Amino acid sequence: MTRFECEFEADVLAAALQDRWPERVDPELRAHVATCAICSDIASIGKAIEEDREAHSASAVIPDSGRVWWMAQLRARREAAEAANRPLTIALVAALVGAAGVLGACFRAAFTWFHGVAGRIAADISSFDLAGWLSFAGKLLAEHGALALAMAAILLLLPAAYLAIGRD
Amino acid sequence: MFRDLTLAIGSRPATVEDACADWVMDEETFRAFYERTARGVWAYLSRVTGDRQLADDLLQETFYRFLRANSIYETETHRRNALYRIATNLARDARRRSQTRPAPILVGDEIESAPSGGGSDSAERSADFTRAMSSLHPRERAMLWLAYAEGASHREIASVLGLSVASLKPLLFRARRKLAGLLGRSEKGRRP
Repeated sequence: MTRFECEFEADVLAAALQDRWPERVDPELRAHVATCAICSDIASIGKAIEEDREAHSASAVIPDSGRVWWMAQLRARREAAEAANRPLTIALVAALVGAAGVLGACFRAAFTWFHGVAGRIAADISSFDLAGWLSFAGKLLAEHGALALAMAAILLLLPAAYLAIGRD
Repeated sequence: MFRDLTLAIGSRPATVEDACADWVMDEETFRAFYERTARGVWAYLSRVTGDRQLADDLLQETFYRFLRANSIYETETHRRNALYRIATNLARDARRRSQTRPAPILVGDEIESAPSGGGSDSAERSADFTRAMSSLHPRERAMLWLAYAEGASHREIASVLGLSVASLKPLLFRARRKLAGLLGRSEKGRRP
């Protein structure tokens, strides 16, 4: 059965890390390592990994802890805001879909009526008398010109006033 | 065993203002913990991913996820293990995402800066080590690094990598054999 552990592992690793391997260790330990695959592997990789760890840690450019904390807070707040807005968006989409459905149902229910109205409009357009309509409009303007002007002024001024007040 | 000792609290904040208010760690504690662990975590990520730039990105993500997990740990060791577990998962996800791209064969500045001949012995050793590590599977790199650079116990390594202690031992043995073999070949190659 293959062994995966050895009782001398820790001793060999300590010797390798403390630069005692192989000269400054007990001859018994040296003799053991010569016959133990586990310990000989540890002796050869222990120091190499430690040297690499030191070099890596020394060359690392680590962001400032305060900056990392601050960025984490910003991100947490943003994610919380997104999570809070999610139900609102879902409700909005559901309302829009519902409204479209109701509108569709109403249209379907009133389809026959719409069909009749559309047919009448089409018939009126085909038999439209432009000259007669113009003379009628001219007559109407002559009789009620002042009223038409006042209504046009109100229709134009109301939105303008609303916009001006809203901006203030 | 380790997992039983963690206790997650406050999973979702009630308002945006509460997003950080209920974090278990205050700024002072976090900054002290970061100062103690960030270099080690970066070195681990850099070695496991084989990409220094990716390690920079994953480092910040690791600490953010650690904060957001908002867990209470019994000891500093448990806290560190949780941090390394997050880092390991992030490195694994990053590797999966980039599997369509070719993996870097050589990593680190030391490879580029290592002289091809006649250079210092330590620079050559460093280049050999980097080459040998990049030949290993990321999980092998992770377990070797945790065992011999971080001095983690078998139980801790198993917890970080999501393995059982029983299955870790032969895997660690094989990874060690592989690395020793690769380093031995490099050593022989350098000898006149």
